[in-house]
Amino acid sequence: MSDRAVSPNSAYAEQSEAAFIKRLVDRDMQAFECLYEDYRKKLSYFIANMVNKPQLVEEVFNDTMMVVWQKIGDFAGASKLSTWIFAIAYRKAIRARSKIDEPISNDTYIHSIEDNDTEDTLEKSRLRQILNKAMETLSYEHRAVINLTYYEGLHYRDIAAIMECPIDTVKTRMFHARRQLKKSLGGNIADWL
Amino acid sequence: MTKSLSDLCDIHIESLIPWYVTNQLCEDELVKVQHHIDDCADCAKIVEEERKIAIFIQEREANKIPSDWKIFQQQLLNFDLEHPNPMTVQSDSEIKKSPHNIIRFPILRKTKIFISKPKTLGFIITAQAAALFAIILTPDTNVFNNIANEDDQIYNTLSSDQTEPNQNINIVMQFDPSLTIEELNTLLNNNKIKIISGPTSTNAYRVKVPNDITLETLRSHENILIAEPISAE
Ligand SMILES: [Zn+2]
Repeated sequence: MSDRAVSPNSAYAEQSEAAFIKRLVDRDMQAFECLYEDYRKKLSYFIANMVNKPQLVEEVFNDTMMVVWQKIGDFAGASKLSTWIFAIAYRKAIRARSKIDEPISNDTYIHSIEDNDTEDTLEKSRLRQILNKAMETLSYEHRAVINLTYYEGLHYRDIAAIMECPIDTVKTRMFHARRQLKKSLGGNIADWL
Repeated sequence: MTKSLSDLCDIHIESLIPWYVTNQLCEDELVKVQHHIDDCADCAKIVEEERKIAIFIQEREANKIPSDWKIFQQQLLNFDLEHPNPMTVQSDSEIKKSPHNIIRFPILRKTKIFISKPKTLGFIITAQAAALFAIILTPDTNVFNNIANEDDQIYNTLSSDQTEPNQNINIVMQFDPSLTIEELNTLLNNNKIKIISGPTSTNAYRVKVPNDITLETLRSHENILIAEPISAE
């Protein structure tokens, strides 16, 4: 199962989260570089699904990490550090979206990892394309809830914290997102089973 | 044909399926969902569909964010220079209201060193900076030679950098912390580096260097960890 958001393989996993946060509060630049490089990977997919212009993705990421630097002293540890950072990124991405005039398309930025060693690559590749297109038809809120659940592997409680909405709203969004995804996939979903 | 969910299945149970698939449910919910899908072929089918979708989602990826730590680090240092005590950061509007964004040194407020009757704000900064170095470095060093003189104190107001083309370049610099004072002095003298202020909480100094010395030269120095021009905002 995906554990990207709470990866135990993080560069700073050897120490407790509290100890690591203390280093950040103490302006330990090496610790922050660790965090920066770690979240550059962790946030890339999530942000790219919200805003699809490379320079905007970079802007949202850097804005997010700047807020982390500025506000880490206020972080009370009520949630996991990763939840807090994702919540900042979500807010920054929404703000960045509001500044874009054109509709956002994900064709260029998001893609599927292709494996070339199986016989059904062509068929799989076709299905992936259909799914990627179907993802694009979702609203950014529905896409976010799908990604946070399936890509980041997060609990609905953490997703509610990130999206700053009630838990029931997360479940409802997920319900509608799945329904719409299946509608866009049409009969193709049967081919997968 | 499948039955409508609302007819036969508890919508609450059905809405938990995604987190059942990702193994995120608590024991209580897990048992409920498991119990239901054991008896409900429709929901069992939904579980299989969601598993498939989850795998396809996990196979998606995005390009790596094109970002540069060195450049970003400079922004962090700039922020700390402008907000020496980040735990009591002013709001943007408050900062804009004040005529000069004076660099303050939180460490100094805790020290019992008083400066007598300063004439100008610029002098306060000079004296404070000097006091700061006096605390951090031993008093019998000539590191003070490298602190820019009072005429240069324009650099202490971040909002009023009026550097003319021929003037020296304003830079944020971090040195190897293991340097002795003598080594630091030699480094400063050899490279004609003048300390304007610092260190900040991140151990960064605001310095001036002659404009015939390139950033590359400074950066290639093994004891200079960071040399970044201060961006005019
Ligand atoms: Zn059912």
